[in-house]
Amino acid sequence: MNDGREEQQELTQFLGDASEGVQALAAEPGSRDFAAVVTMAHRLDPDGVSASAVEEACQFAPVIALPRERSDVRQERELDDFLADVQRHWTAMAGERRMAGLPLLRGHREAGRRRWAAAAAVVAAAVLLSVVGVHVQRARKTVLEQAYAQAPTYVKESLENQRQAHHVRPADGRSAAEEAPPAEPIVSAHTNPTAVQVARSEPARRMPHRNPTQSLVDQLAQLDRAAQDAWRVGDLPEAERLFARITVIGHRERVVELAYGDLFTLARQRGSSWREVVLWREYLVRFPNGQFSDDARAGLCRRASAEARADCWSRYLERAPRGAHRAQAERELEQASDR
Amino acid sequence: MSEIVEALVARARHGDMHAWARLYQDLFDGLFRHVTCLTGDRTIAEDLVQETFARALVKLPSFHGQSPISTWLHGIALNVVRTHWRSQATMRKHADVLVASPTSTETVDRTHLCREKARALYAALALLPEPLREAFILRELEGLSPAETALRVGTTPENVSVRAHRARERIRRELTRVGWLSRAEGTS
Repeated sequence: MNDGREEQQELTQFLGDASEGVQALAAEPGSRDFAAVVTMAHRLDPDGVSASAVEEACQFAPVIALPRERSDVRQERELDDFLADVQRHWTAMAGERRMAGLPLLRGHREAGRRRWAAAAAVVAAAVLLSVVGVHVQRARKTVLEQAYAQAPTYVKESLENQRQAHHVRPADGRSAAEEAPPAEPIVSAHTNPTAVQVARSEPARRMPHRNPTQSLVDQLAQLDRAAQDAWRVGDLPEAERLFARITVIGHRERVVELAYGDLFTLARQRGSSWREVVLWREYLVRFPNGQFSDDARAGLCRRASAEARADCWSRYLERAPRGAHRAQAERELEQASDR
Repeated sequence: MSEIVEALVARARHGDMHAWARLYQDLFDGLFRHVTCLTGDRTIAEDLVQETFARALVKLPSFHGQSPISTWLHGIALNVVRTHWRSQATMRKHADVLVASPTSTETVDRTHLCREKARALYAALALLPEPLREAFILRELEGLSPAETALRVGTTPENVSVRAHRARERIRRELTRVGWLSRAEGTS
């Protein structure tokens, strides 16, 4: 006898599976484009949402429709290599610090300061070179060698390990940086290293008042508020410093990811393309599947040297067959195959 | 964090585009999940979420914070989705899917099977009147309570339960008709 219970059970089973199917679809991050939202809003209500608002929105992350810059290919490639070195240095520092244990114990604070001062010196030397532009390759080698020579043994060992690790390319063709596990806080190389060093060793200076018993989440929220306030009143360097601080002390909290979004925007507002590149790389190491990862990868491909670009887009498609930038990726690959 | 969101909303209402950008980044995922559940299609959901945020930006001056901004956005999204549902093209697309009867399910992997079932379900949902469809999706797929669902669609919890039940019955009949569910003994 069937009183309808079997039918209901079958339907319930079906709905459970269907729900699983749609939840799986919804779980993958969707493509975002804030500028497109504001443009649409302007079309809906030109008086309420002004053209200048559209213009302003184009400055915000993500990086969709970013124009490719014209620059000397060789210099671009060198800068690319150089930035990869900087990224590796920071990854090495972070790895070393992770091995040493987090957070730094009170008794080790001085040692910690010295370590970070040494690390900052390496990167300061490296970052300085990006400004020089000409003779990048030669100068970079010299300065990095000098900085390396002065670095403590633990830094050298860590760098050596990193170098060896980077000689082994992952089987799926992704970069080693992308394969690195989500790191403990990596110092933002885009900020002035001295400022970062100060921020690490003297967190109270120029920082919002902090209760020592305050939780990390509260600290991050407080920093976020302060950064937003600084931005609102137009103090962009302070806003940038505070957002960078969030990325330094935070781990995988949502506010950290959003801080990266703000740092991307600030870098673009300043017209600092190399900072954007450094930030994208750093972000991808920490949030390989984050909400800005699609844009960050596309941004890196757009900035890649002519020789590396096709390979970069190919890897982009491999990783994100449904990525928001797939049309451009396919176009680039088609053009590359015609050449 | 809600304090931060409130501050961002206040700034966005005064035309601070950066604050609005932050809200967009912060609220996107939740809204995307909601709209994907309503439509069953990621690509369509992406477009509709963009439209939802655009409409919200236009309406922002009239938002006075009586409810959380996420609830307000979900309401706008539901209206955007309703407009989408009303388009004939959408209905036709779903109807096409309904024609496809299930093949042997023993050989397909589970993920694929779940997605196929989801497609069939949305095809059946497309045939329902909007109030039944909304109540069913919010209750059965998003797992909202009758009270939460009632708040979203603007009716009573009792009415939501009745609608969801009716929707379920109609869906069962439709899925049986196209062969996804087995026919009960004694029926033709």
